[in-house]
Amino acid sequence: MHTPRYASNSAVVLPYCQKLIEQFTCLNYSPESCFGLYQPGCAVQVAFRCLARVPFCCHPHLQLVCRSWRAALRSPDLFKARLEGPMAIVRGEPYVLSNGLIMKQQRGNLPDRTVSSASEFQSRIGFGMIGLGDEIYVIGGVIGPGPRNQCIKQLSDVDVLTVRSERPAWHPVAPMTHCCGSILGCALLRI
Amino acid sequence: MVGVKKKMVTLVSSDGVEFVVEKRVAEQSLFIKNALNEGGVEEKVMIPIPKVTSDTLSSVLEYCEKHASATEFQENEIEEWDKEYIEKADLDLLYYLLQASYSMSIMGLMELGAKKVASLIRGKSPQEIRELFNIKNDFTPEQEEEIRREMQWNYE
Repeated sequence: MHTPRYASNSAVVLPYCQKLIEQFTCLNYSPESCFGLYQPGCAVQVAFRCLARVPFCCHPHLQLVCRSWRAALRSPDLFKARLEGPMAIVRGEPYVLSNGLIMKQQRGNLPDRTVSSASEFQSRIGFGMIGLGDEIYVIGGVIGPGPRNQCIKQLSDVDVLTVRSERPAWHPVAPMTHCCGSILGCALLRI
Repeated sequence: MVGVKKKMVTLVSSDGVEFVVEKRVAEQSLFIKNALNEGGVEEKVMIPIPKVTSDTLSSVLEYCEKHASATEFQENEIEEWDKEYIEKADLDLLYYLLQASYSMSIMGLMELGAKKVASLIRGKSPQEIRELFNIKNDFTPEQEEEIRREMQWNYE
């Protein structure tokens, strides 16, 4: 078995993605020709995402599968893949922003339900998210520095998603007048 | 032709098969969307999709087509469709769909595939998982015993 060239750490390559990696290493294409499609460690990322969807309680015995699974399950990268974005409560129901989607978390063993795409927030970090009435507010945050190390742009934007409507849609509302940039926390105040 | 002329793009799979699809369908992939924005919209756009074979790409586009017109369907309908779509994919196709959705940045499909793989892993014994994914057990009996002991310790 050869060591995959593109894997960031060959110890954590999961065997069931070996096939993908082989495909990767066989291909000689230039990154420029395909709009930067080439991403190192793609297969590993995919594998982590799959493992991250397995409930945490199953992890200990999954370590027994083989060495690379054990390594993967003990690696901090898995926790990165698990990491979900901010959460907001709307009418007693939890919503999370993860992987560019707003998901409604359901009770019991039911899978999360996708409410809306939130891909425009993927480049945004440090924003606040709060549920208010029937809506989710995404407030402030920063864009950047990005792969090219551009300057960090501070935002005062406020976007609202009407989650409880039939067709949830994002719309911008009046921006913040005084604040901009990273939001450390949001709270609903009753004065 | 009746109505507005639809903007089309041509996607070329790794084995050289051309797929002509509506722009809105192709734009389900963030990668293609960005590529179109950066390159400016030409009359005839050809986008090579390396690493994705024609079989996989046609399946990916089936997903994109459904989701491009998601607003026309009831919420449950699209969920049901997703379930059926991923159910009929065998393990090989699932690998390729995951890889394609990652490299083409189709988050919804990626999520769908990852969940499917997770559901395959869930509730199975280590031996069953090895059989499913064709994995060789590379632990010695002593190492296995040690991990088991460690697990016990975790639970106490």
